[in-house]
This record gives sequence, structure tokens and C-alpha cells, in this order.
Amino acid sequence: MKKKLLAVILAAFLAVSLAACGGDSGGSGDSGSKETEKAEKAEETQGGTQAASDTAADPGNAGGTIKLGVLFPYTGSAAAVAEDAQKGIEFAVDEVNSRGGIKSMGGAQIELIYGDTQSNEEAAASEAERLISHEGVSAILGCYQSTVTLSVQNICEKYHVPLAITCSTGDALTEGPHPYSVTIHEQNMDTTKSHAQFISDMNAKEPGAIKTAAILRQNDDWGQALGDGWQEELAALDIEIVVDEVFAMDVTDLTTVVTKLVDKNPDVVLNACYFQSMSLLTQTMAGVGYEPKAMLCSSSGETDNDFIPTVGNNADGFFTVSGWGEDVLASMPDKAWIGEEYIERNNGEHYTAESAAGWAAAMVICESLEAAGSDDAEAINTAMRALEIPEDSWWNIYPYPISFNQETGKNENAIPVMGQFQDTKIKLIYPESIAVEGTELVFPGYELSPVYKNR
Amino acid sequence: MYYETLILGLVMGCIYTATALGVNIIYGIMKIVNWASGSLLMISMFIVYGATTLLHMNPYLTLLIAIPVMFTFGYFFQHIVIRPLYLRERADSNPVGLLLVTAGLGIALENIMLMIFQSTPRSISMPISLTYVDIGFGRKLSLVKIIGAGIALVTVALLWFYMNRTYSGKALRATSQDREAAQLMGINVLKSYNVAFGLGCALCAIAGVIFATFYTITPAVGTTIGSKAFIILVLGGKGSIGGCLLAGLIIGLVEAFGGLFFDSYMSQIFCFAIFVLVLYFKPSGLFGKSRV
Repeated sequence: MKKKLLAVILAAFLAVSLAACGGDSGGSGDSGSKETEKAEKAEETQGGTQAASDTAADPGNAGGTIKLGVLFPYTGSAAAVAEDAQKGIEFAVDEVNSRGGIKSMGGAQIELIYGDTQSNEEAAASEAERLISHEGVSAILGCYQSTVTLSVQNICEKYHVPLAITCSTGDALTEGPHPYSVTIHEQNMDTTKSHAQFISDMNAKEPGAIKTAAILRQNDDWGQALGDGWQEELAALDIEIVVDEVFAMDVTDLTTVVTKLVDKNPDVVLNACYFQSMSLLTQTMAGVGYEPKAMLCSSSGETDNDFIPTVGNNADGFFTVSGWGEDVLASMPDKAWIGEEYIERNNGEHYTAESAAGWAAAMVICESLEAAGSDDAEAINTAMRALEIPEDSWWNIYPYPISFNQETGKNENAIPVMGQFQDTKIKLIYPESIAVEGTELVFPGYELSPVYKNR
Repeated sequence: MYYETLILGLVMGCIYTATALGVNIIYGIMKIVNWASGSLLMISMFIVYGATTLLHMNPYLTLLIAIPVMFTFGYFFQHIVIRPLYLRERADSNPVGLLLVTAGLGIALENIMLMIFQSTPRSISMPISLTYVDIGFGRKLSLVKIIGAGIALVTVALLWFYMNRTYSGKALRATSQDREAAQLMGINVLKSYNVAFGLGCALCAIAGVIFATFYTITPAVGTTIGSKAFIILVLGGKGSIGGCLLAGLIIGLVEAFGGLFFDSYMSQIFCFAIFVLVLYFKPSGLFGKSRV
């Protein structure tokens, strides 16, 4: 009897754990439960695989369902970013579906199928293959970390499936021919150039204001690429690099790094940090009482929805390069509803750069489907590369048009803007021409920091 | 700068020791590697978060909740899940089930928490969160980390006292040295194992409380923090409390000075290099006894 009881308990325990970590559910709890609902619906219509093959048999798929793959790191320390991007993608797809779906395909509805990259290249490649071969998705969106995205890009090129790169900014993604992927927002190269331009402009305003710099970066392809770019740009500006620090994603203490900053006291700190390390860095700097003239961030950890709730106003004065900020919507009154509806859908959470990237990537795929009139991957890809989305398109929340270089897939129009944390909100202030009325760039940034104010 | 780094290394070393004590006790007594240690630590961080946000408790007082909850969980998990496996696999020369059951527990706990709480990072705000105290020579160090190190040192002292000066602790040590002989002397070995696993989980709870005061709480945090526990286990010698403390201090110092002379990423590499070298040259650990 005891053995039977034990067997039942163990079986239940295993079932719960497998249900929780199973690859098919992929994402967070929320997406997992949605997937379960979808799986149940698929079973009701004679099994998911059968339904998928039926769909594939009809090239036009008029009035049917079009499957799109969504690949992000739903588990691990980068999962918060995945959630933000997913919220943007789901908002876009719900919007398209509620407006009558893909009209050129008889109102076909979009269905999202999720996969978890686990921040790992092999796992991401395997999930991409599963989405393409098993689930029959017509296109993929993702995947956040550049090295992970590179491995998915290779799979998409192998299977000739279009990939709308979302939240990955590695230059390698757009170097050389990439016939099956596009990037919509800015890449690292644009970020480092924007930082360099900012430093140059500040030095023009206040000669000699920035003479020394520190570089802090995560040890991955993204951090490495930004580090290399900064070194090159700073050398050209004749700025001395006094601290160059690399740290792992799972770093638990950054006191030594801040000690070095206090000791060398660089005028500007350029950083490429994910959420965990950005929070640690901000809190340690505030605790020690260190503040540079300009803390230049790279649209990562500091744009996470949970960053401000975690650090409060300790980031006030920091600058962040961003492809997007909520203030962009303030300069687009006809699109303000996008921000308002997003907040309503997500219990008061604000749009982040990641949510915006997810929204735009999903919309690009939907526009491609509309133009192609088919869920055939090759047709979608051809249509996607020919897209010309004007700045005033109803859904384009970027301050630039969207079109793609035919060889690399890069959106050459993407220009990063720069925001500054002012009273716990990112205010877009650079180039100064885009600043909303009533906001202005504060330099040195530490004048806004609570440490400076309390002194 | 060297002075500050030295103090930081010692403080972080004490905190890392707290993460390894639970693994060390369980392995020392039961010869089971508790792969779920990181996840148990994560669970106790969520207990701290819940108690501070819902009950508005002082984070340090949540030890009064986290320790009994985690001890009870560990006691009954050992009794209900591990014990039958142990009895079945005792004669087996390669007890894979025992090895995998804690790994399964770790994965299950992490994913169940992910389902319930999602990956949203949470943190605890205390009035002293950003308080940095003067440690001499004009240098400052985080007060919550110093308090964390103090709690870790008190835990080490209490654990040493329990294991060496109490009947129950001596029974656990006797069980770890020779379980058949202990059984002949009237010690209930299986009950000792329940206590050992419960104690290991309670020690994870203490580490969880310490980390919750200064680190972000997510379902994946156990993997991030827990990895160092195994380096300390191997370095200090399995089952040695003093060795565990010294190993923790070594890791803390290597990490701090590695970060100062090179960068913090290199310091992680040094920690794992030590792990590999000790495994290769002195598998019983720097302070463990070699098997005859």
C-alpha cells in the first residue's frame, strides 16, 4: 500500500515538473497555460499535427489559421525581457486578428506558437527546428541574445523560413548576406555611434567635460561587440579608457567594479548590462555614492519594466540609447492609443523598448502576409524584403520608416534615440530636436541623482 | 583599495559559506548530493518576499518562518520520497535514483515557481538597503552584506555546537561515520537522515534570507547563486563545517581579488579553475579526510 502511495506521489510530482518545464509549453506560466488551451483546441479538431498539415496543404489558407513561431529565453535570468517582448507581439497579433485578420487571405487569423531558447544556442536551434518542421510555422520572431539569434538565423536560412529579428542588436546579424532575416530596430553599430556623437556634443557644449571613460559589459557577443565599438569610437575621440570590465550574467556582487570606478573616477561610464547586473550596479553605485557625469546605457537592463520598481530613483540622471521610448508616442498623438491600450492590457505595466520591438516585428510579419496573400514561407520572405512602411503608418511606433537592405536585411533607416531617466521615467532628450516640450537634457547627469541631491 | 577588497572578500566568503552549509551537511551525513539546494534557497527567498510584503515583517525576522518551513519540508521530503528510494537502492552499487531525485526536485521547484510567479524579478526594500558603513581607511561596505556575513558566522558556530555538543548532533555524526555501527548502538539511522535533510534545507533557508536582503528574487536565482555551493563543497571537504567556512572564505577572496586585478568575469573563471584543480589533485577537498 505504501509503495503504491509513493508511486502515485512520485508520478504526480513528475507530471507537474514535466508539465512545467516541457519544451512545448515553452514560455512563462501565462503562455504555458495559453498553449495548453491551444493544444486542447487542436485536439478537438482531430489533433494539432493533422490540423497543421491540413493548413499546409492549402497554400492560400483562406480564412484559416497562420502559425507564427515566437522564440525567446522564457526561462533563466533573461526571462523578464522575453515576457515584455511577448506582450508586444501578443498585442499586435490580437489587434490584427480583431481587425479582421489577414484580409488578402480571407481574414485568416494569426496563431502564435512559443519556444524557449533557454539563452542557449543549441536549445534555440532545436526549438527553431521544432517550430518549423513539427509545428509548421510560416515565420519566426525572436530571439533576444545575439548569439542565440545567430543560431536561429542559420536554421531559418537552412529551411528558407523568414525571421523577424526582435530585441537582438549584434552587428553580425546584419553583416554579409542574410536572405531570410530582417532587423527592424537599431543595431550595436548604431548604438556606439550614437554614444560617441553624444560625448562629442557634450564636449562641444562644455569643452573638456569628458576626458576619461569606463566600459562595463556582459561577457557575451552583444557586450563584446559594444565593447569593441566603444573602444574604436573613444580612440577616435581621444578619450582615455581607464576601466574596462567584463562580467558574467550571473554575477552576484559588483562592489569591486564600483571600487575601481571610484578609484579611477571616469567622466563617462558606458555599459552593456542585462537586468540583474544593471540593478546590482545601480544599487551599489548609489550605496557607495559614486556618480559619473554621464552613465550611458545600451537599451537593455535599464529599459526592463522591473528596473525602476527595483532601483527606484537611483537611476535618475542615467542616459540610455534606445530604438524606442514611450515619449516617442507622445510625439505621435494619433498613435497614443497604442500605449494606453498596452497599459490597460498589462495591468498598468508600461510599454518598454522590448515590447515595442515585439509589436513592430509582429506587425512586419502581418504586413508581409497581407502583401504575399499566402502563408508560404518563400512568398512571405519575398514580400517582407520588399516592404516600405512609412513613418506615419497606423502601427509604426518608431520615429523612422521601415524598409530593408536587400542583401543584409537591415533597416537602414533605424536611428537610435537617447533618453534620460528623470524622476523615474525615461524622457527622450537626444538628439535635442526630438525632446518633448517641457523636458530637456541634464548634463552632468549626476545633478539628477538622489546621492547628489542629498549631499 | 586592497584593504576594502580584503574585507569584501571575507564578507562575501562568509555569505557563500551559508549557501554551501546545507549541501555540506546533507552530503556529509547521507552521502547524497543535494542538487536542489539552489532551488530550496530560491524558495526561501520567496518566503522572505511574501512575509515582508504581506505581513510587513522585518526581513531578518522571517528566519523564524523560513527555517521551520524549510526544515519541515526537508524532513518529510526525505521521509516520503528519499527514504523508500534509499531502502530500495541500498544494495545497489550505483544508486542513480538517489542522485537524480534531488535534481528532479530542483527542476520541479524552479518550474513550479516560474508557473506561479513568472520570471518577474522581485526585491525587498529596507531602510538599510543602501546603507554603506565605514570599514576604516575611508572605505565603505554594504551594511546588509556585513549583517549577512554575521548571520552566516553565527550559523556556522551554532551548527558546529549542535554537531559536536548535542546528543542529536553526535548521533548524526555517528551515522555519517558508520551507519551500521550507529544502528547497533541504538541510533535510528533513518530518522537521523530525516533530521539531516531537514537541517540541510533549514540551512538553505538561512542562505535564502541573507541573499534576499540584497539580491533580486526570481525563480532562476537558485541556479545563479547555488553554483558556488558545489565549489565550496568540493574545496572544503565533504561534511567538514570548518572546511566549508574556510573554503567559502577562499572563494570570496579569490573572487574579490580576481575582480580587482583582472575583472569579475576572470574571477569566476578562477573559482571554477580551483574547483577542477582540487577535484584532480585532492578529491577529498582541502580540509577533508582522504579515504583509506
